[in-house]
Amino acid sequence: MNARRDRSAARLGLVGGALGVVAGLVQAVAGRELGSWAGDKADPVPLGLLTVALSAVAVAAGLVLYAGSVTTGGRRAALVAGLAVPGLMCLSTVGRLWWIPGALLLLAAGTVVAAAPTAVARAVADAWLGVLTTVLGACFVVVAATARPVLLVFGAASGLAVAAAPWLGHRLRPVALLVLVLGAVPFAAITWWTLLTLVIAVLALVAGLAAIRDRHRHSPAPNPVRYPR
Amino acid sequence: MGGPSDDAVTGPAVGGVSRRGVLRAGGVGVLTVAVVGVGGLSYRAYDNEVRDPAQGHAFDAWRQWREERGYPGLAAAAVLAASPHNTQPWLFRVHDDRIDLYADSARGLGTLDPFGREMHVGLGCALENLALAAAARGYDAHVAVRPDPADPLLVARVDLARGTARGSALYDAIGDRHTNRGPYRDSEVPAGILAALTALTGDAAPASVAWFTTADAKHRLSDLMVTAAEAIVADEQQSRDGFGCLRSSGDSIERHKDGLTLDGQGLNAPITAAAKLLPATSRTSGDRFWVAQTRTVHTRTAAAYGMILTPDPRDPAQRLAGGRLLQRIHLAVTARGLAMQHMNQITERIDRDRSLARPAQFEPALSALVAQPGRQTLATFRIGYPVRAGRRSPRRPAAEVIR
Repeated sequence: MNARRDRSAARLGLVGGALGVVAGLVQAVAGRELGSWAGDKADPVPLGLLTVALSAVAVAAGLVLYAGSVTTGGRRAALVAGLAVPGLMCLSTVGRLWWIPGALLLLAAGTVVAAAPTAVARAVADAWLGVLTTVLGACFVVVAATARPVLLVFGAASGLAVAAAPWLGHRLRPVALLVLVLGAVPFAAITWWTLLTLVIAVLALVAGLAAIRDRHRHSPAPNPVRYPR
Repeated sequence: MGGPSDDAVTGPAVGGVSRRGVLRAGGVGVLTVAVVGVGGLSYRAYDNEVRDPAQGHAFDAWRQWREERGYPGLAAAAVLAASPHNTQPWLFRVHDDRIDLYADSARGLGTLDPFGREMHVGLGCALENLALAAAARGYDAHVAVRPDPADPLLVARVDLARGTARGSALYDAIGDRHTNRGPYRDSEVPAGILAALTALTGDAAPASVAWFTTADAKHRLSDLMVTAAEAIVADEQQSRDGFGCLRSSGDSIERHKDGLTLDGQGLNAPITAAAKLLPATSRTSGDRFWVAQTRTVHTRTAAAYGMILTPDPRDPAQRLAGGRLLQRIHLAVTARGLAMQHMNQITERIDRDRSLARPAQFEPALSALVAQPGRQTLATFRIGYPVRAGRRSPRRPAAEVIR
């Protein structure tokens, strides 16, 4: 039953992701001519390319699902994120072009959750501090998005470092701590006057340190959840 | 964690839930709420360009004005001129041998400018930029003001012929000129600079400039400005018309490419960032802020006031001449590293009283200050050495205002 749902979700995800790639390319190439259909964006090219990149993530999630290698609640939760985050984010990048891809991706994400809701909920709850830290890393990227190129790259790299730190391997605690601090502190320091980046950095350090401590205190789940095929 | 210290740290379990567990759950809950809030603020920071303002298309005109060639290039310089509340009330019609400058009557300030005084001054500023650009780019420009009395919207005709390029410091300052509403340093403007600025009057007759540099004159003019600002915010219609020019979000700046922005208020970086992150200001709180800034920053830190005078500020041709002189002074001030801010609250109240046929409240006091028989105030401004640089204001590019 679950395997069948996963297959259905995989197909939805693959079709939604593929349509998303097309929507992103259309936005990048002809967004200005499409007007309100493409959301009347001032900068259609970067938004189109961002849509392509996020859609590619959804396609990757669909491929993993299709391969049937979903063995743990954590992996299932990650796949839900891989489908739902592009599904939601691109609602603001390509206008009406996203209606069909977005609906398919969100439906796919819902189907993956429905296959094992308890396992997904437990995985998310167990890693909640890591999830919060990742969200804070994404906030860095969002705040930096309107900056000049050099600062944009620095802010995006800092955000990705913060987002990734809690998920680094179990044996890499010092590295995880270093990545978290290097991601959070320098960018906040040079953009202190925005005030917001300081708040994000403080919250990221609190949540990230706790997440890393938790992750390294508990050994990996000895019994991966297996779903009937 | 282990051993005997566990009990001390975790506390007694009640109903199967330890104190530590409760504290942790509470902490995670608070952290979650904080992250949700920060997520919302981050989107607002993105939307309002907190990180790096003036990067959007609404500011392209500042970055690209030198790249435009031919007659559109002259209009590209003209659109960077000062205008009342950054309304940009101009339209250009480009012909084979001339450019016609029209007033865009849809871009008035309502009760703040009932007779179009400031609109014509702004058009004069644009005309000056256009003339400077023409000279710098190798055109001989002949300006005819109001060439067709039957068409009041046609404010100037600029006939152009190929000539020799004559660059100037004023032309070079076009892209750096911004209204600076921030504090100015406690330094006097040297008399030599004021004399040089006065000399710019040149062929601007009948417009002239008068300076107010003594403590007493500045004090009297400051008091009048603050009183006028208070009167404007107390006048609901004037307050509404002023509020209509505010652009409080990145979206509205990009959509309209005009108006007044938070970045243009001359505040320091953290205060500007905080103002952008907070919900958009209401009309009344915006009014309070403006009056407070007028009282505590604009008037208090003015190194000198200047006034453009003409015999009859109601004459559109004189307004255009005054606008050209005002722009020339602003460019010269910019080239010398000084800052300038237009401060028209007194004349806005004078025109308001006149439009309502009320007794003049401000005109007698202003005339007494000017004390130049036969000349009246067209526009007022302050100058000084700025604490921080002025910021770019949004602009409609030339392509959007050429018909």
